[in-house]
Amino acid sequence: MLARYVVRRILQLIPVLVLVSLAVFLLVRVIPGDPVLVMMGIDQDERARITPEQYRVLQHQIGLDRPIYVQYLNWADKIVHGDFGLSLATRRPIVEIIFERYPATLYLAATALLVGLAIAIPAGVIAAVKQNTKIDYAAMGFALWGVAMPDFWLALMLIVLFSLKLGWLPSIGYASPFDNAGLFLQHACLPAIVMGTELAAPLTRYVRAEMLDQLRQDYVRTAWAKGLPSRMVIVKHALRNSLIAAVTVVGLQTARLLGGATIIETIFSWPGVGRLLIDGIYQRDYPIVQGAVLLIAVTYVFINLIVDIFYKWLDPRIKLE
Amino acid sequence: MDAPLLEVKNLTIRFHLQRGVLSAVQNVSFSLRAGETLGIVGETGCGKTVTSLSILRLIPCPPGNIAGGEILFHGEDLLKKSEREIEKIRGRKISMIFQEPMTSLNPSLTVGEQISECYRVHMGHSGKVAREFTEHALSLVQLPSPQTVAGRYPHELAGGMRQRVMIAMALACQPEILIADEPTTALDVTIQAQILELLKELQTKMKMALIFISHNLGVVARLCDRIGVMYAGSLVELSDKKSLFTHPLHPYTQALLNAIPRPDLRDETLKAIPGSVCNLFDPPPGCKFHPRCAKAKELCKTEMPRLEAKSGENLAACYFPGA
Ligand SMILES: Nc1ncnc2c1ncn2[C@@H]1O[C@H](COP(=O)(O)OP(=O)(O)OP(=O)(O)O)[C@@H](O)[C@H]1O
Ligand SMILES: [Mg+2]
Repeated sequence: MLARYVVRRILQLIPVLVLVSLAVFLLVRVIPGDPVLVMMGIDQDERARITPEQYRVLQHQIGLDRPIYVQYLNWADKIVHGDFGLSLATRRPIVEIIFERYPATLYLAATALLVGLAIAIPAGVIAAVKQNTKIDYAAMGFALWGVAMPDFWLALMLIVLFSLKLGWLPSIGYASPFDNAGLFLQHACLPAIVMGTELAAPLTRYVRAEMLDQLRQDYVRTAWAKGLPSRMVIVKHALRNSLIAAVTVVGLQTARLLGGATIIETIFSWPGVGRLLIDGIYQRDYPIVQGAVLLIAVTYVFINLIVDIFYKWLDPRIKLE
Repeated sequence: MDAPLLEVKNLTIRFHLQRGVLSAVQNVSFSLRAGETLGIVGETGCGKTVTSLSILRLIPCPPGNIAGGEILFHGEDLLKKSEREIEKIRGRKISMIFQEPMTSLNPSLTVGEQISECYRVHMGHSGKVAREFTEHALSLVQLPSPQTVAGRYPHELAGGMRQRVMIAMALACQPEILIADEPTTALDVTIQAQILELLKELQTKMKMALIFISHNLGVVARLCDRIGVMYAGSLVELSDKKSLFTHPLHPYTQALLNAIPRPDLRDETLKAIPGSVCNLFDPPPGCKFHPRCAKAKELCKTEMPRLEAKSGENLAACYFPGA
């Protein structure tokens, strides 16, 4: 049953992926300026530098003299075979560059996810259980602040406080968790707190609302009537069902984290895909931009897929249908 | 006569709501002896569920509030016990089953898990032993192939089976009292009869006391030794079954009996009770039934009658009881 569902969902992904690839393909063509120059990373006002002869050769090399759908199909064919082309700046294969950077992004997102869950679940549960008390108001205040506050601002404030004033944590740099876990944590601490807060704020509200709803359900009354201790009623019965509903939100937020990490990665000089994307834009290295955007979009789509499958698997009622 | 197992004395429960204070239960007193079956009947909203939930201290507070009274179990006031102590009584000494078997089970845990946690929490059994007990409990409520049922989720079972699961769960630790709050109302008639039969059988087998709540006098009559009648938050009559049906004391009981269709009195039309239930936010002074009562006199409009012995052991809260 679940297997059939998974297959169906994967098939549904195909049109999504086609659209994503179309968008990425067109990206370079809608940027103002001559696409040949754009693709070659040559400024428009430097056009005089190349002769019309060179221009035609370039145009032919990139394939821009062919009809646009042929261009797309050629491009897509290469992508499917893992050929994203070469970076204009370094002449290295894009795939190589991106997969050098991807782990850093994943590690940061995972750490941020843990931070976010570690804040949101207890805060949401306690706020619901102690509804309309000071604790509840404090948690909701935090959530409101977290949603309203821009992440770059929090990042800068944390850097000012913990790096510049107190000197406890580095503000830039990176180490792989598998090479040096301690160093990784030191570097990941501030960006993960920023991204974790960003995740925790809406999630706290969601968990609280969901818990309040579950705590009113008949089955929770049954659990109390059985004489279960309150921790068991709250965690095993009510929270379990609340989290099933929260999985979708967590998934969406995580996907957003992965895609939206560009600013945070840039601020903290985190060598991830987000920063690669920003650098690519600055350097007009469009193959890099295409590759990074495509990877972020595909990651987003696949996380959603995984979340949906996980959700089905968690909730026995949906499994039957 | 031995001391009662459970004694509810002058129980008063209010809900503090935005619209005002709702008196859900007022001055309710009754007692239950070991092994006895007490029925409680009354129209919807008269406070049956609230009364029974208060015995297990399950009234949500706020907005609920037990404004007064005592609930003595083996002579000890449950209302004075700590949360810890009451947890040891819930599900262990006093159990409860509810009206809606659909929503009263946790949708994301297997039936077996929901039963076996009772054994682990109350008896301290290990997972394996608890599983064995669970299968035994499921076979006691006459579910076919208990092992398979234990692995099922509630939504995979039919309504009647779910209610059997609820019963197995409630009786897991062999409680002294089972409170059944309209356990058959949501089921269709044939299954209703089977569940009643099962309850009766298990009660005798386990020698437990049963408080059976229903709005249906006929259903209560099949199970109960004594029957209490509630009206608008008050217990208006508490009589043994036979007297209640032959010589009802309270005019409300009489009206209820007249409203039951009886095949032997075909030509006599059913008498619906005139008027409607009073507003619980602002109940009338005196006897709450007086605006609907044909026999009401001046006294009934000013002075609230107390529940007192009127004919032998039978109690009624009425100044002019009997026919
Ligand atoms: N949690 C609550 N909040 C507010 N009011 C409540 C709550 N629970 C019960 N009440 C009120 O208390 C009164 C008694 O309700 P109760 O559920 O005991 O009635 P009942 O006799 O069990 O009726 P039914 O036959 O419909 O189950 C009702 O007026 C109801 O509105
Ligand atoms: Mg009820």
